[in-house]
Amino acid sequence: MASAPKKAPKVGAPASEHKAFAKAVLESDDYREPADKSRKDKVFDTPPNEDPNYKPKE
Amino acid sequence: MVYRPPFRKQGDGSRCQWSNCGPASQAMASHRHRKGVDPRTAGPWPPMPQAIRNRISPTSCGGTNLGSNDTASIALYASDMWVRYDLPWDTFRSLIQSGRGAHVAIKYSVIAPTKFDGSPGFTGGHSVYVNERRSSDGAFLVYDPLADGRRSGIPTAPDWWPANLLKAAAGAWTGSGKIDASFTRDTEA
Repeated sequence: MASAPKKAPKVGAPASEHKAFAKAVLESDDYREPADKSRKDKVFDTPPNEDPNYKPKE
Repeated sequence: MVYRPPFRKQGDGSRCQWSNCGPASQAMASHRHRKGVDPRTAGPWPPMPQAIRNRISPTSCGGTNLGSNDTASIALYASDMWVRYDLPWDTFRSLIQSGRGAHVAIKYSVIAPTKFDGSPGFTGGHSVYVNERRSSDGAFLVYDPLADGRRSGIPTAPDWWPANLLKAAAGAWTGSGKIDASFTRDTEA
């Protein structure tokens, strides 16, 4: 595997260019681990102001 | 037109509902990954937040992350997505334009002062599902699991978020402006 291409296609580029770029990025060795390793285990938070017993109306 | 999964809210009355932003976003991403077709694997179809939550932590609640949701999605829906970290914004944007959806980590403090706020008072780490980019103005179609219209003033997802808002919220999660996200396959090939 190789490094990911660094320069993304321009916004208005043909879809084929975005698809080729995406494939190269996702198949590369890059971006698989965060620079800050602790962030890999960081979890999303819980809104503090919502009623834990809330039942939606259906 | 890009395939759009159904919206899944986290406040659905199920166990751990308010900690289920990840499972709800993952349910929508898994639906997109499979383009709405049941892979007939281990999980009940369609993907729902509760099934993913139960797979991650069957007896406890607490926060989830991109990795734990992806692991559950593989087991339940054979949906092995691409979990990637520290992506430059232009790379993220191009991956969405390539025909993929994404489960994206954000910081809600960026959303709180805007009309897209789905839980007043919440400023913590959160996740949303991003389905597509609109070429006319560069906005992104965002499915925020908190934006279910349950109270007056709570918006209803999906909604088009300006690119600079999504960029700022995702960049604030990493603290570096880079993006952490989990991508579906290209369903528009």
